[in-house]
Amino acid sequence: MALQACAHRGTEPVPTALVPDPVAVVVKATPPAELLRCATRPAGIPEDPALIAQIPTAVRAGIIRMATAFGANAAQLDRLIDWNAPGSCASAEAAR
Amino acid sequence: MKTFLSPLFAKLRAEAAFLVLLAVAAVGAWLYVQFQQVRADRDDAVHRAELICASSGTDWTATPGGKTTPAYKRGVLCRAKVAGLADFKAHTDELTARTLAQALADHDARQNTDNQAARTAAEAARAAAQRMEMADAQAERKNLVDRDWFAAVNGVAGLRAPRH
Repeated sequence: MALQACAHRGTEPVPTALVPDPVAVVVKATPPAELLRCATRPAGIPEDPALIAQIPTAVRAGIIRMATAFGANAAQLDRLIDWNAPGSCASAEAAR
Repeated sequence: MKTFLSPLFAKLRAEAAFLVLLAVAAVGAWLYVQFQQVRADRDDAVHRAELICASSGTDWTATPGGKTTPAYKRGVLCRAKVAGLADFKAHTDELTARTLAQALADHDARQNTDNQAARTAAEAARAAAQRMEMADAQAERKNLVDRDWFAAVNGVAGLRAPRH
């Protein structure tokens, strides 16, 4: 009896693909390419022995503040971009 | 004893046909009750099967074959659907777990890379700031700045002098 049932089941048509394949999607919030540009680092002040300037203390302090902030901001931007797209700015910094 | 039982046996022998009928009737009644129970049980099982199939979104009933589709006996489509759903859930769980584990690993890797980058940047900034302080102290007396001071400014800004 059981054998008959087994034999019968073998010939029975069995439907396939009633359920779609499972998909687990990774949602990536990629920022626009414009936001992923590494920090701009133009050429700095010429380091020429012939160049000597007289700059008052207050102005010197201002220049130092701006330069320090520029360096910190550029480093932070590169780190942020590397966080989003690993390795995209580390190579640029190494090439400097 | 025998004299006492013999009239009873004689009477029984006379009513043998009726006794057989009685026995057959009893068996029939017992079978009938059994059948009623089996039928109720079967109806209940089929009803539950129909409910299960309906909740999976397929029909319990047999499907006649079309020109391109084969005919299915009752419950076959439903069983395949339920098996497919169970498979779907298992695979989805597995994929989700794998995706989450990958995301966690990625996050850890990023954290490590960023920690290193942050340390490097902080060390470079500290060294540049010390150099700047020294260069500025030298320029303090005459307000005259020279190559050292410019180089220190480039250093804190993380810039290089233009190439000639």
